[in-house]
Amino acid sequence: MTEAALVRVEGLSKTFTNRQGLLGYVLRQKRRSSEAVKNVSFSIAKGKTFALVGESGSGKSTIARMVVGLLPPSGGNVLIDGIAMHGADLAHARQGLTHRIQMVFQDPYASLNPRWRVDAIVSEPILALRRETNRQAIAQRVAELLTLVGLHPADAQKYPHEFSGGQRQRIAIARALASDADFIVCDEPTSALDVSVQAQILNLMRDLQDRLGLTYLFISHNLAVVRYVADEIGVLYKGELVERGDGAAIFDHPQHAYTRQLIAAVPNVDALRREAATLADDRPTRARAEFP
Amino acid sequence: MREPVLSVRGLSVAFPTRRGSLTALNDLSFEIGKGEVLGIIGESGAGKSVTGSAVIGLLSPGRITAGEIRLGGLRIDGLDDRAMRRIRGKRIGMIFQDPLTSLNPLLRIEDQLVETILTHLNLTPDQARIRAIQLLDELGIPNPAQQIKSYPHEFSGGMRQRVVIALAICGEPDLIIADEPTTALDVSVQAQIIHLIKRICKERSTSVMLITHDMGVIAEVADRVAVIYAGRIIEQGTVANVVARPQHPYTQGLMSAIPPLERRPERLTQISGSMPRLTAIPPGCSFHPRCGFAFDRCQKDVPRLQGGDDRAVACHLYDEVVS
Ligand SMILES: Nc1ncnc2c1ncn2[C@@H]1O[C@H](COP(=O)(O)OP(=O)(O)OP(=O)(O)O)[C@@H](O)[C@H]1O
Ligand SMILES: Nc1ncnc2c1ncn2[C@@H]1O[C@H](COP(=O)(O)OP(=O)(O)OP(=O)(O)O)[C@@H](O)[C@H]1O
Ligand SMILES: [Mg+2]
Ligand SMILES: [Mg+2]
Repeated sequence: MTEAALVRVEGLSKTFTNRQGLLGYVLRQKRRSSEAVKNVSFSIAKGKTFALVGESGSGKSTIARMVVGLLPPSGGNVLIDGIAMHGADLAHARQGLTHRIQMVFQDPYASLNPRWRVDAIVSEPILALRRETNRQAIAQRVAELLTLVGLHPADAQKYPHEFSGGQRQRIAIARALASDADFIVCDEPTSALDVSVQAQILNLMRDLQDRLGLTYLFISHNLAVVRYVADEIGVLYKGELVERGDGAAIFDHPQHAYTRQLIAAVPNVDALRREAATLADDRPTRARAEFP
Repeated sequence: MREPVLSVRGLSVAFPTRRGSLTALNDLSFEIGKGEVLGIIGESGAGKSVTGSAVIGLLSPGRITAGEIRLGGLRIDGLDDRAMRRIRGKRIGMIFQDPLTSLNPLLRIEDQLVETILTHLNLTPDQARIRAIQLLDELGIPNPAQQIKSYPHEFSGGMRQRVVIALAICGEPDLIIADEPTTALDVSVQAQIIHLIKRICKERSTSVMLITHDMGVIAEVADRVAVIYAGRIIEQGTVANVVARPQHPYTQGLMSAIPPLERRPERLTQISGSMPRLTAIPPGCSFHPRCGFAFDRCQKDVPRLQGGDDRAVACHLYDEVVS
C-alpha cells in the first residue's frame, strides 16, 4: 500500500491547552491540557478509502482538521503526495495542494451559507482558485456538478433552505468536487440523514470514487456505514489508533478489547432479519406475485 | 389492545405559510398500550416530530385541523395552555435529541430535578431531594449524592441525557415521548441509554413513543412501529413484522437501504428520488412516483391503512386480499 500512498499521516499528535474562557472563569475551572491525539500514523493509497471510528471525543475530528491543514499538530506531520502539510518548509509547494483537498462537514445545515444561491456556493472554489473566469464556462461546470450529484441544473437558482437535508449534503459534495479535489475528508457526512438518503449519498460517493479515482478519509460512528465505505479502518481510542485493518479483519476478527466492545454495542437489525427469513411467507397473493 | 394509554384518531395538523396552509399530518391514527414502546420512523420532514409536538400540545404556529388525541381515555387536544402544562411533565415526559435544550446550563442538576419533582409530586423539598438522588442512582449515575451538585456542562453527553431522562420520568408520567434521544450520542453511550429506556418501561409500565431514524434502535427497543411518509402512516405493526418483513414498498426500500454490519455489500439498495415537499404532494398514493410497483389506481386513490394491531399497510397492492 505504501508505494502508491497519496496521504501519509506520520506520528500525528495534538495537545490542547484549555484557555480560561469566560465560562471557565465564571465556573472557576482549572487550566489543564489534554492530549487529544497521540502518535497516530496511517496512510491512504490513491483511490482508496480509510475510515476512522471511535467514540465521541476520541479525536476523530481533530485528526481530520490536522489532515486538511486547518489545525497545526503538536507533533508529527501529514504528507500529501509527498508534500508536508505542516512546518515552515515547502510552503510554496503546499499552495498547489489546496485545491486538491476538500472537506465535507457533518452538518449540511451549518456548512452552507443560507444567503448564497446554490450556484454561488458550488462555484466558490472555482472562483477562489481562478481556475476559470468565463461566466458561461462556470455556469456550465456548476450544472455538470449538480447533475453528477443527482440534482437538477435548475437547482442552481435556489437557496439552501429550499432543499432537504440529504439534498443539502449533495450540494456540499458538489462544492467539494468543484475544486477538482482528488482527496476528500468527510466528517460524519450522513449522521443526520435517514437511511434512504444515506444510501443515496454513500452510493454516490462510491460511484465518484470509481469514476474519478477519488481518495477519501471517512469519519463516522456508524460501524455498518464504515464497513460499507472503507477499504481500511482505524479504530481510535482516547486519541490512540488501537487497531487497523480491512473490514473483514476488524469486524470478523477484532483484536483489541475496545474494538470488540464497540461492535457489541451496535444495535443491530441483521439478527431480526435473519429470524424473519426463516419464517413462512404470509403475504397476500398479489403482493407475493409482484415482489421478488 | 385494552385501554390504550395514548389514542390518536384521524389527526391532521396544518401550518400557516406565506402561500397558504400546509398540511403536515394527514389523518393519522395510532395507539400506544400500557408499558408499550411504539417506534416512529420515516424520512426527514415526514412529520415525526410534529406528531410528538401535537400530542404534548406544543405545535405553535401549527394547529390541529381534525381528529382527537386521548390520554388514558381523556381528550387532551384543545385543552388550554394551563391544563396542558400540567399534563406535560406530570402525565407525559419528554426527551429531546439535544440534552442541552432540556437543561438549564446555569442551574445545578439538583435544583432542576427538585423543582420538577415539586411541581408534579406532593412532596416536601427534602423528600424531593432524596427522590432526585434515588432517581440518578437508578439511572446509573455514580456517586449521585455528590454528582447532583454538578452543572450540566460538567457531565458528558451520555450523563446529561440520563439527567434529561430523570427529568422526564420524575413526575412518574404514563407516557414518555422521546424524539431522537440517542442521535447525538456515540454507540456505546447509545446502547446504555437504550437499555435504560427499556428498563424503565418494564419496571414502571411506562409507555414510550420513540422517534428515531435508527432502525437498529427500533429493533432493540420498540414493540411496535409506525412508518410515516409525507404526513401519513403508511405501515404499522409489530417490530418483527415491519422491520423484518415489511409490506409497503417504501418500508421495504427503507429496510434494504440499511447497510449490514455483517458483510460488505457491492452496493446499497436505494429508493430513487426523494419525498415530495408537503406543498406538492401528488394525488393518490404519495409514494407512487417513486414506487416500482405502482399501477393506475395508485395515481388516483389515496390508499387507506388496512389491517390490525400486528400489521396494517396503506398500499393498493394489498387491497383485494385485505378488504
Ligand atoms: N479547540 C479545542 N480546544 C480544546 N479541546 C479540544 C478542542 N477541540 C477538541 N478538543 C478535545 O479533543 C478531544 C477530541 O475531540 P474531537 O472533536 O476530535 O473528537 P471526535 O472523535 O471527533 O468526537 P465526536 O464523535 O463527538 O465528534 C476531546 O476531548 C475534545 O474535548
Ligand atoms: N413551524 C413550522 N412551520 C411550517 N412548517 C413546519 C413547521 N414545523 C414543521 N413544519 C413542516 O412539517 C413537516 C414535518 O416536520 P417534522 O419536524 O415533523 O419532520 P421530522 O419527520 O421530525 O423530520 P426529521 O427527521 O428531519 O426530524 C416538515 O416538512 C416541515 O416543513
Ligand atoms: Mg467529531
Ligand atoms: Mg424531527
